[in-house]
Amino acid sequence: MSVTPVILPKLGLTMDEGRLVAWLKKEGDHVDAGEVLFEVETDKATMEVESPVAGYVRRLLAAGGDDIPVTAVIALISTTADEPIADEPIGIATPDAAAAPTPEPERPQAAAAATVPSEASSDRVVASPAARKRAAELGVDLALVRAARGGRISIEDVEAAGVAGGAAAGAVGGAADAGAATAAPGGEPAAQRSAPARAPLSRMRRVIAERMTRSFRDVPQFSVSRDVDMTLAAATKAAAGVSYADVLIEAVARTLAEHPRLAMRYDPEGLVGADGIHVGIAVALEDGLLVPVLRDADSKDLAAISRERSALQDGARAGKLAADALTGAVFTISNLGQHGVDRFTAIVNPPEAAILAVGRVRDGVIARDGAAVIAPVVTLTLSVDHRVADGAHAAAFLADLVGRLEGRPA
Amino acid sequence: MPAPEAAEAGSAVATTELFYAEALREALRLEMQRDPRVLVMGEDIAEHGGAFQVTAGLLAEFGANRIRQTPISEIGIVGAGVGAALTGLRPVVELMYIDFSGLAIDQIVNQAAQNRFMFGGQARVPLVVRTQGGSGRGNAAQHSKSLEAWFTHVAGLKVVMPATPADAKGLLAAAIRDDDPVMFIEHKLLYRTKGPVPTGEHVVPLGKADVKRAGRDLTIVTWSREVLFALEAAETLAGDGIEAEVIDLRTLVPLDRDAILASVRRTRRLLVVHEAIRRGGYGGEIAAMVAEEAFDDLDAPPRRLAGVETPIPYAAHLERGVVPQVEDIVRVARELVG
Amino acid sequence: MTIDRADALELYRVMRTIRRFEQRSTTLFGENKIWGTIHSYAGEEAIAAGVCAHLRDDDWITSTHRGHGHCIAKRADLGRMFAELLGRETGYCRGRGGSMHIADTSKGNLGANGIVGGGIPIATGAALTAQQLGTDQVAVSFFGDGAANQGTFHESLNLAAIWKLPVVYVCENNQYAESLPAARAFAVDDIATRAIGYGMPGIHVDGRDVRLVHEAAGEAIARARAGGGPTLIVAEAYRHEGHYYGDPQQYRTKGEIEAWRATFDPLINARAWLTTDGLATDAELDAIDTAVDEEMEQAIAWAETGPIASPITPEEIYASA
Repeated sequence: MSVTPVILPKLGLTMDEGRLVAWLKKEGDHVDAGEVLFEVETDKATMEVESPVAGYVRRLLAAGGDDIPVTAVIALISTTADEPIADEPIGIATPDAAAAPTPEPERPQAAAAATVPSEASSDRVVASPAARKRAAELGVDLALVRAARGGRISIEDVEAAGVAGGAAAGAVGGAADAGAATAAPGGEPAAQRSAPARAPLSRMRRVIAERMTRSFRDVPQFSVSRDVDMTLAAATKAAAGVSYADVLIEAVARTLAEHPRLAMRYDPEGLVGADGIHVGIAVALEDGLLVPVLRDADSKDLAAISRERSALQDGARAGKLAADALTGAVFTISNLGQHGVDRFTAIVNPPEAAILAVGRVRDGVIARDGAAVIAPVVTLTLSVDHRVADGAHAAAFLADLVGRLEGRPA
Repeated sequence: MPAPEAAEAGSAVATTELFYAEALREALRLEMQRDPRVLVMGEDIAEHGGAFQVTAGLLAEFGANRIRQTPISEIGIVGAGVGAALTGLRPVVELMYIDFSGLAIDQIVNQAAQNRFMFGGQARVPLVVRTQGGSGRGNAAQHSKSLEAWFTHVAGLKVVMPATPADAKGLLAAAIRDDDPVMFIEHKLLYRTKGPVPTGEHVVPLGKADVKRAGRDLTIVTWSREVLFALEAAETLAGDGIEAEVIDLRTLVPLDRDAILASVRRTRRLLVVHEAIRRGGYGGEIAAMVAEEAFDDLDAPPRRLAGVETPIPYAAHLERGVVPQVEDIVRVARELVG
Repeated sequence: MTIDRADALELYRVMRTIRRFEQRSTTLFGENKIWGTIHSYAGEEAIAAGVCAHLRDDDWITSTHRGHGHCIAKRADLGRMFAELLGRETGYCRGRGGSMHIADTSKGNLGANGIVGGGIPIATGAALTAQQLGTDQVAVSFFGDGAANQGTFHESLNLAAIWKLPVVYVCENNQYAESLPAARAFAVDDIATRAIGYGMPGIHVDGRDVRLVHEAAGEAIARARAGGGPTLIVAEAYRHEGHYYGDPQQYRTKGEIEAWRATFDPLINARAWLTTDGLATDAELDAIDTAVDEEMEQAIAWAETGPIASPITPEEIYASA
């Protein structure tokens, strides 16, 4: 005796299941091999299915109207009418992946991974075109940017470097009070002597270190200084209810508009002009610097400049500035006056070509009409990238700036 | 004295000045003398000597069985070539114009290119389909196309396009000796160009590009007739201090990626020039490959200078205007170098 | 026509093997073990068997998408055929070709072909090789009524005729080109008359009787072998099953199919004349049936043990590096 399971056969290339329409035999009937046993509906047509063997239909395991997956056992036929047979359907060796393997698609031979940079020659920084463009906009030096993954600097890497205060106005010598240089961010007291303390660099400190090193090393810079009689500025300040910083920003912006050379930046293929008089204003933080940008300063009046400067400083200290408020400066003003510094020389902040270091406005003795008088005086020191401008350019700019502040042609 | 097996034109071997058509004939003659299984089939190839005179004189030397002129039956000719190649011959069939390849394309694409693979390695198809394309003779739209991109897109085919007489001879010999189906695409305006051709056995390996001119400022990758234009353009550019490196691909499939990449890594600029229309042209494959593999070495985007996307027009000035000319190559190279 | 007992029994055995192969592959397909689709040759066995009986291993054939019958008649190994359908490394084409591209070049089978009419010029080229090399090999091109309207048919027959190539063109008219009845595809009643247009003999045979096919094929093949050039044979047949497995066959009625199958079955036909002519008894033929069935099961069992097709390597695409 033997029992033959009857399956719902796959009747077409794309058939996964079929609907049993009707049995043409009942349980107990005899059927011949090749005799039609049931009808099944596919998505194309109703097809007749013949019995694979001769025998007696012992079990019908599905009913008309049932949706049945292909190769499911739906009937049992045995060679005799009455031998006992198991209640559970005897499965055929239903093909699983091993027998009728759904072929694993051949993996298309992808070109070499795009994330790993090709073996570029070693003297080039590996950065994507998008990253290069953004770095130029932000004034970020690619040599100082680390690629987060894959070995190629991405636009995200550049933006991260830019936002972290990639512009560090030179605070050489003055950095001490900008952020208590001896106190590490981690707060380890300098007094500890047992083992040399090592404080991990914050991202900002790392960027400042890298940028200033680069500037110091690669940008040939010189400085010119003038002392300025701030009598007129003091009067303007009082009348408008603004600060010295605002008066300075306004004067610098208007002077810079007439001396576009100092607003350019150096590129081996040619000096690149500024797209606007956007003045960076260095803001000291607890352990670092940010340089928010006052855009189109030459088109704003003193009151507007004052409002905006104030907002930018507040925003910088609160850490709430968006990336585009921190980018695009063509000239920076760094003011250590409120910290009591008389005069200092700032380091040019690449890719800008010039930076103005401002000391404190102090009572000084100046000569006026042959007599010694006491007047508010401030020392301005302009540092300039010699690849962009020479001493004469710098001197001319400074002369016009001083002239504007003092209310007379220099 | 005898040329070494893979001699290149320019090495210290004896050469003769031959027309491109004569160089092809030389290759056919030598290969047919060397191997009795080689035969040529095509239209007008017997007494007439071929539409471009490539087979002139071969009928007298080899007889009508081996220089087998056919009726105008492209799919019959190519299909018979497939059958013969499967069963022990090494046929060289000719399609007079590549524009006619559509008439035989099933036998090329579904049969010849695939038999080896489909049969699990039981067979090989050492068939060469010689054809020619290109514009510049006023033959207009149905007799002037450059269709190599169709065939580069078929797995199982090799595609060869010689630019010089020496390469024509050497590559045809290699193609005949190759056990795979080769689309051997000549250019109608190259047949009457002349150049030094090594005498005797001369085989140029398939899959190897040739730096026809070294340079440091940009890499021009090109093939077929545009190679001649690129070399002329390079001379003009040299006057401006721009040194262009001209790479003649010679074989499109298999592609000599290493040669292209080595060059671009030095020059940092790529210009692909081809007569075929830009869209879907083989230049796109090369530009994409270079962008993928040498992205960080590029100082400029990879550029293509190619045929305008129009059927080839009839009037001479129109015909000239739709494919890259020397001055176009000069102009684009200058833009690229900046 | 006389046919000796040994040949007759062999013809029967080949036909029965083809029929059983088609039945079993149909069942395997129903069990979801065969990928893609298959095209049953059931009903046409006499043509493959009758023609290939005259062919040596070094004679060539080209086949169609309905190629299992030709493959078997050309003495293929059943296990390797099943293994191919099951996508195994041990199949004839290492699982790369499947039913429609099954080939056995060691026996001169230049492949089933998924392109209607695709094999006709290839067989013509094989015949060219024989002529060129001066051997007495012969090529046979099998194709259907559908292919007789393809350009390849016309170009190939003309080439073979002008060059007097040793090729026999065998058109298996199973009355349907996919869903199109032959009566609507031809303006002539007898496809064999096309041979006149190409300058070769055209022979029309009833493909139901393997003796008739055997005789006509024998003459044509002998003529080709002797250098007498090509012949077109058109054999009438009937396709028992649909064009492909699962074909809903809306283009013909169940009644028609049943009527044809009742009167057009080469196996039933063969059994009748074998027994009537005293060449074999029913018991002997039943024994052949059983032996074939057993051989088939062994072949399937062997095929199912084969490893799945291995990954593709670049060397498979090109023969020369």
